[in-house]
Amino acid sequence: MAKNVDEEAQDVQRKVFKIIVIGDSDVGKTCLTYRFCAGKFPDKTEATIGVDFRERTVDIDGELIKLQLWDTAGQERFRKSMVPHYYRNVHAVVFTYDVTKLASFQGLPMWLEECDQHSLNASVPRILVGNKCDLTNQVQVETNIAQRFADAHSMPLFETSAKEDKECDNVEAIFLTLAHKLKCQKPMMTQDYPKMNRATVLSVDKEVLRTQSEGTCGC
Amino acid sequence: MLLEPSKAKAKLKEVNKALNKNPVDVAALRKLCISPGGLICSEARQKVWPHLLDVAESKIGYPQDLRRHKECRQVILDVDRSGKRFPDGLSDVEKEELQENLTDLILGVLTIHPELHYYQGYHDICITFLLVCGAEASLAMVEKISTHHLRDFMDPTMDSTTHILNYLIPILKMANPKLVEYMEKSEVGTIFALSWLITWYSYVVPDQRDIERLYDFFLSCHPLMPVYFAAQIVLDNADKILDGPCEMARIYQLLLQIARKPNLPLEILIQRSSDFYIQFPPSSLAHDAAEFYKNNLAISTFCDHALVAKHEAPDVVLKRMGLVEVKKEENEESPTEGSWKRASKTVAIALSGAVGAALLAVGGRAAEWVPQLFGYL
Repeated sequence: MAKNVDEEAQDVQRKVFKIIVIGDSDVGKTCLTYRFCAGKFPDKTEATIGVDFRERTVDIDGELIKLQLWDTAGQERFRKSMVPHYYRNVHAVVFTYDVTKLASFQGLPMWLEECDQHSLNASVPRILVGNKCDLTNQVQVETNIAQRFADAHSMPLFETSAKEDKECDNVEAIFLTLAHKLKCQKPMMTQDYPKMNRATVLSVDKEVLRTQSEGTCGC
Repeated sequence: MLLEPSKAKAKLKEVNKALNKNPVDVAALRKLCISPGGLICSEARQKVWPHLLDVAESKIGYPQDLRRHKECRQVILDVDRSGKRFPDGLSDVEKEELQENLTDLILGVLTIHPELHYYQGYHDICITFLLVCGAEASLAMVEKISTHHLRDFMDPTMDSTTHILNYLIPILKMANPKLVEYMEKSEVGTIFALSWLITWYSYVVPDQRDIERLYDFFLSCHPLMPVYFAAQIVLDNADKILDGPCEMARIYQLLLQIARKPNLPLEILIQRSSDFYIQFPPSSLAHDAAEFYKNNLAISTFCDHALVAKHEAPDVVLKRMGLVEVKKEENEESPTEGSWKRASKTVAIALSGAVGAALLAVGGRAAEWVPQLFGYL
């Protein structure tokens, strides 16, 4: 597993990647980034106002990679006038929806369109994250539907829960996969992960583990 | 900073004295709100805030059918996630009641004023009033600040808010041009201060008592005072900003964290904000604020300047704006000369921006405010 690095102790030139996390209000963008950067679910959640920022440095194959996560407000008025500033020089985009709210999934085309409007380079990796999958009896967005959407837009799909401790590795895997991808800068298509769905997400984690232990980049 | 008990007691006596005058001595109350410690306690605030907003006699009630408002869904999403602001030790029933009241308060104002648009962060302001003044009294107060202090933030878009945030730059420039140059180079922008401004710091300041103290100050001052306060937070940390790589992320994160620290020197920052306001009033900054992002922002600050200078009532401006005929070529004119004739497309947005940002009036007392502040300091 990639480890956190004490930044003060390291005087190493490291790659920095800027990742923007977007999606409708209350899909769990803050919890997702908080889980990855702080290792836990926030005690009390609150609506994000404007744009928050979190970062974490990880060791990928012996190289320090700093991931800067820009966590944005979901309300439409913010994204229209505030978020655009944060699309600049972005290295990756994480589209997030709530598996228990169909509307948040249906809102994705609008987010994609907006992303396109900010003329992001086509090589900027995009991933799709369905959050809150711990609420198994409330699921409104079936994996196969989400998978089809992800395929259509050449994004890998991850389903996870920022809340569940047992899914923690899963959240880790999502961002580490992204870190690998960014480090190697090869187009990330779904065919890289042909069986990507909830059941196989953990295999991505294993892949990350494997590539790290072997000291090579598997992406 | 808490006042010594003897000073706090003396201050509360002053507050009561001003409240007991007939009519209530609002000018004295404003001075007490600005001076160290503000109104000291929630009990005093509960009595004084309605007078600051001139709603002490107001009898407005909650409209019917609140839950049918189009923003209801978003409001409930945010109210459900507002527990961080609630006092410790509330029972589940009390929490639920507070949340119900909060939803009603927000939707109540939005229903009374269909022209106002909900923004995430508005709920943080409403919580503050609810906790201090209760559900019944809060409606008139929140209604008043929503149509005055917060008016710009409640436009259909956030263009006016962006515009107001840009006042930060000229204020900073007056005190520390080197810092501004550094921040501009880093491209950090002004959005780090967005949540500060639109929630009056209740999103970031961790202690409810500190939040209330800040509200004493903001309720007694010009609507742009939260921006002056933001500038002081930045200036107070100039060394930390300048001491490190000139990177957007670093500076952004630094500023976000600073505002969330429990030991923000509120009284010093309030004092400095007041000083700056007097030295560099909004009218002196309007041009620079527009200059800063003129490439990104279509809105000019034209009416702010004139409004502040003349303390005009908004309806006068509205009438005048309605009469303005705009021709394309006039866009090239100098900001002052062509100020009333900018492109018609921007008029609607800029107008509400001007009304909120520049309007001093709460209860028609606009012209009193500045001299009072002068007199006090």
